[in-house]
Amino acid sequence: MADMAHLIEPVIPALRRYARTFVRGAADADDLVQDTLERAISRWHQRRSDGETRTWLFTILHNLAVNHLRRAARRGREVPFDDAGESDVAVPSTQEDALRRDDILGAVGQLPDDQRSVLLLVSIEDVSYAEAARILDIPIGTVMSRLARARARLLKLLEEQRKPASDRPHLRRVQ
Amino acid sequence: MSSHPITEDDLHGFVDHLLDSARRSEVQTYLDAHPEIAARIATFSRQREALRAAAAPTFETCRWTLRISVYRGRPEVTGAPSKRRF
Repeated sequence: MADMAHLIEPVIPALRRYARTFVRGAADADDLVQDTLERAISRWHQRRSDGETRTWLFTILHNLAVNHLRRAARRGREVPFDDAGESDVAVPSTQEDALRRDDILGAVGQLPDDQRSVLLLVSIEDVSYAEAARILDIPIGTVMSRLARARARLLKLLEEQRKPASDRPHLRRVQ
Repeated sequence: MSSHPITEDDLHGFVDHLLDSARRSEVQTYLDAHPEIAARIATFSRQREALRAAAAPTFETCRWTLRISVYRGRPEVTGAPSKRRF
């Protein structure tokens, strides 16, 4: 039991961060992490090895998160990309910083789920391409093509944000 | 230059600091000779840094401790600002 806590605990901050950036609702994200931890503990014997703990936890979380987004989409409710409240931000920042943070996270929220997951894992969680392939259960070539598309698309979204509102095409929420 | 051509995957590996030092310097030489591609790659690197900075405040708040007392097989997570309690 002590070993289990020892292996899981260091990964919790990354799981919470991934959940929050992937589904963007702080309460929903924390619930997903709770569910991930429950599932990990009840299926602890199913993991391949201690060294794979992070990959395994991310796999569980990602699958739960994708199901969560699908259910939300089916209910016809808009997934709350924008409700990460101020209480989620521990470090005080200038308004300008806050705007830029919301801009980029908002743009990431408009990426298709499969592109967003690869981009977040690789860029923020320092997951290698091979590990991302294992977490998402896709070939590494697919990781690379999704990453390339995500970066190109994000660039376009951020450029559109910088245009004055009158020039801006109406953006469709992808969710 | 290298005997292996520089691929799009190498360029992303460069952005993500996932290349070994030999390949990294080959890519750097290639970028020095191709300013347009270098500009695109620099934009991706800035994008990556902006994303990490944007996610950092979230990271600061992430201090849960896991107490596995396993009450009916469920983990007890303390310090979590979750709406659900077990």
